[in-house]
Amino acid sequence: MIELDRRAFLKSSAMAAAAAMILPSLGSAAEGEAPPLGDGLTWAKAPCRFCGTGCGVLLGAKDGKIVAMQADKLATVNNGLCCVKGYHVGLILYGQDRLTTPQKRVDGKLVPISWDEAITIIRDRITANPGRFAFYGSGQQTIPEGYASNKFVKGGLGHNHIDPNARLCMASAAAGFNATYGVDEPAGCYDDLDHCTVLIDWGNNPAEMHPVLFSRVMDRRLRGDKVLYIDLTTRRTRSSEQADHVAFFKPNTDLAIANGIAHLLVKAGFLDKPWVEKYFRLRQRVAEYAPDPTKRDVYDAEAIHPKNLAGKDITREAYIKNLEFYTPEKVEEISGVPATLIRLIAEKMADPNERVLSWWCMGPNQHTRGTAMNSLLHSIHHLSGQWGKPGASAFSLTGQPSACGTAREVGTFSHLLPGHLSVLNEHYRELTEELWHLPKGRISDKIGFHTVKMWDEFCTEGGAVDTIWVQVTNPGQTLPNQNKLFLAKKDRPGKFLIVSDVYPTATTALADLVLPSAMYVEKDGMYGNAERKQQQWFKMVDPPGQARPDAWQILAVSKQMFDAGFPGMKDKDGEWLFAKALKNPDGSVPPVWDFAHYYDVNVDERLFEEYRPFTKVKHKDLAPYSAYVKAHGLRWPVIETKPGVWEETLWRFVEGKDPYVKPGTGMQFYHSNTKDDKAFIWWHPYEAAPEEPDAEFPFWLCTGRVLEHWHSGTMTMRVPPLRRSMPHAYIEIHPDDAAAMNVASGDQVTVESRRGSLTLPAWLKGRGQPPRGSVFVPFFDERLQINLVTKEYHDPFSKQPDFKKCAVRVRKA
Amino acid sequence: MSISSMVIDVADNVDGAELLDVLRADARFTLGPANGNRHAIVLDTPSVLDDTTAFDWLRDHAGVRLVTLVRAYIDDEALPAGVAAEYL
Repeated sequence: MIELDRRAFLKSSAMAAAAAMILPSLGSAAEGEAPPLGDGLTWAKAPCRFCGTGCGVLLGAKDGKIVAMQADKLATVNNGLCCVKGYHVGLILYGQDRLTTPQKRVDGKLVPISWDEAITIIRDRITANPGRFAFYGSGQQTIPEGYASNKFVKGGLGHNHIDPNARLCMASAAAGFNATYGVDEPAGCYDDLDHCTVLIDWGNNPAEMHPVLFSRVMDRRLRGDKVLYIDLTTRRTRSSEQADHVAFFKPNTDLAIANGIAHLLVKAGFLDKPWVEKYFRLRQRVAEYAPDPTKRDVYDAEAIHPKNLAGKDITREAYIKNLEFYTPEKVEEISGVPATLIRLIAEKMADPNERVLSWWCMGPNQHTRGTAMNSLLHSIHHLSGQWGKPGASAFSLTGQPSACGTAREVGTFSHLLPGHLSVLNEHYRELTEELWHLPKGRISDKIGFHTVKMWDEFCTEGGAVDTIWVQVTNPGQTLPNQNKLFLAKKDRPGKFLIVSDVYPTATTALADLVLPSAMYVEKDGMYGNAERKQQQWFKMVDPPGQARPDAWQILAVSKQMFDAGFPGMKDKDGEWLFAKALKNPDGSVPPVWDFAHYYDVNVDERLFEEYRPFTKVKHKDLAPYSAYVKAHGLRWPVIETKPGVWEETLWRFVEGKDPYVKPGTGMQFYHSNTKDDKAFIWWHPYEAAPEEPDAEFPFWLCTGRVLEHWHSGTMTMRVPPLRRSMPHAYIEIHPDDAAAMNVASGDQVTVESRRGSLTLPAWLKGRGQPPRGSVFVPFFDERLQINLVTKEYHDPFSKQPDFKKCAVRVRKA
Repeated sequence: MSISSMVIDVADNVDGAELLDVLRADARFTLGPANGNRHAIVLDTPSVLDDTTAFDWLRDHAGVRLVTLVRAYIDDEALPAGVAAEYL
């Protein structure tokens, strides 16, 4: 009887929630915040654990377990919607094989050990040779976790060998923003989706990768809004099904397409538009840095030094002359995109009555010309005037929940300090030493190892890295060219791999020390999403067994090193590196390194408040921690407009929207690389990919994600409905190519490159379909690892590898 | 036990009308209020796997333009020990 009553109540409250979605008068904001009163659950807000969209969710806990969820109606990101992954987010905590105890490898097998022993092992390993230690973090580390790891390495060890997996997903976007605006991250926000009249995908599949944002536009169309949707893609996807125009372009030719649009805009006189002179400079790279793109090591080191990221001026005449080559017909010849569509896009961008939004994710980012392509996307919006108005923007999506908030803003990249400040800048190093209370000179002025370099050094005999600590990521599946950059570790007995994770993975399979981590709402946290929005959550349930937060693990190792007398773990006053950040008002330091006392204070809040001053330097101001506790996310810069009132910023660099823009300027790029408040319109040529199909390897290989699984599948492959929906990886082949090989759907097919091979089932008419001569394989399945086949070719500036294109051959197995 | 609620956008044609009849006759579904072609519905099934099966069936059914999940209750029984392992 009790169960029946409960069931009826839950149905009733679920119906009320659905009704409120279609009948707004039935649901108030207050109801959205605290929905099912009386259902016996404790509800609390959190961002979704998965992608960079940053949907707000409400999780319901009962008896120490998450048992319900709903989308947060007060979260402006998703306005009460979630995708299929989001609705199962609570289940990611409850896979049957959670890691629950520290383990070390003995005679090839992982055996349980105590936390004390594990922390001591790490301490001894690092102190023995701190210069040969590196930390590999993540765009899934929470902001405080990322901050702690960054301070641990850059402030404690005095070098910069820390890099996030975000290097693999959006480093080119960051480099493009920096090259163009002098500061990272989008000027626009998701609200642009509500205002655009033309939406252009650039190598993007938002229907599967960012479905909530995609539905935000599709919902407008269902309600009668006219939004012209153009899909520029290398394969047909679920997004293509909704598009008004779909055009397949040859991999790597997106630069030619952008130049074709710029060509038409210039012909139409847009260089003479007043905004071009007032707000922008024409720019080009400093040197021909890769005459032969297949030889990735022959770059002119000076040309690709970060100080040259901003390039040099190009004359108007030279800019025009360079673009003359890119007629629509020539671009069609290069890319395969019809000249008529190039003209249509240029016409739409030239029309002041349209609001054109370009959006992209991994296509232009995982690209050996990623920085250039990102810069060109901004540039065609600058040239056309499709910029600085709601709906008119160039927006880079992210793949991880805190790639922006942690990797980019906290600065866990090997070239950054907190606040996205460069380690090359003496003033920023001194500021960091001041805010961290470090002796002068502690922060190194040398850029540390980026991801590919770090793992190459680790996996190479005699390489410069002996120990790597991995947190919240799975490089054993996600690094390119696995045989070289990860599996080679098996033959390097002197190398030591430490992995903090929640489940066994391809990375823990080679780990020497495994640390069980608390995940998601088993700990406090903060994420920052793709539209500059920080969101906070509190711990709701206990982690299983001895699993502990990643931030605690770092603090515990740091404290042990301090106690052992390691000089780097002392500040300039001789106190523990983290002491001043964590101090109580009475001056005492809470013993948070002892896990029994970790939650005596809010460690997240104290680390965050130490971090906040960094964010003001580049006008990425964050509010106090307490403001995020109350809010359902705030987009920076967040400004205190009156005491205790913190207001977010939706559009940057635009007068009336951005509080840092001077009145009367209209637009002001106040971090301009040329110190004149101007952003750039870039010239970059189209160049062939480093490895293109040939007689021996005649197919293009593109890798990517699927709707049901998030990245390497560590979490989603343990959620039964998601696993059932998409149980294993596959290879998409065009039916005509398959017929030529006598391959039918379900047949085993071997895909092989110069690096490695993989055999997996074919899917001929699935949700995606590549054009002839191309194949696609998702990377979520640890049993079928496509990164055995990919190559570590990377962009010279961003160092982001290209997972989207390499040459392979395909045959029936 | 798994209870989820959703909003379905129903096609404005005979397929849409037939779909509503099908849902009314299916004990798993409870139809709630509507706003034009948008209907609030609740799905009540024994387990999260049954819920997903029904959701997939509904999403692919003729007459459906869009299904949007709104809330999901996944009670303790929805994930008995070994369920995940069954799939691993």
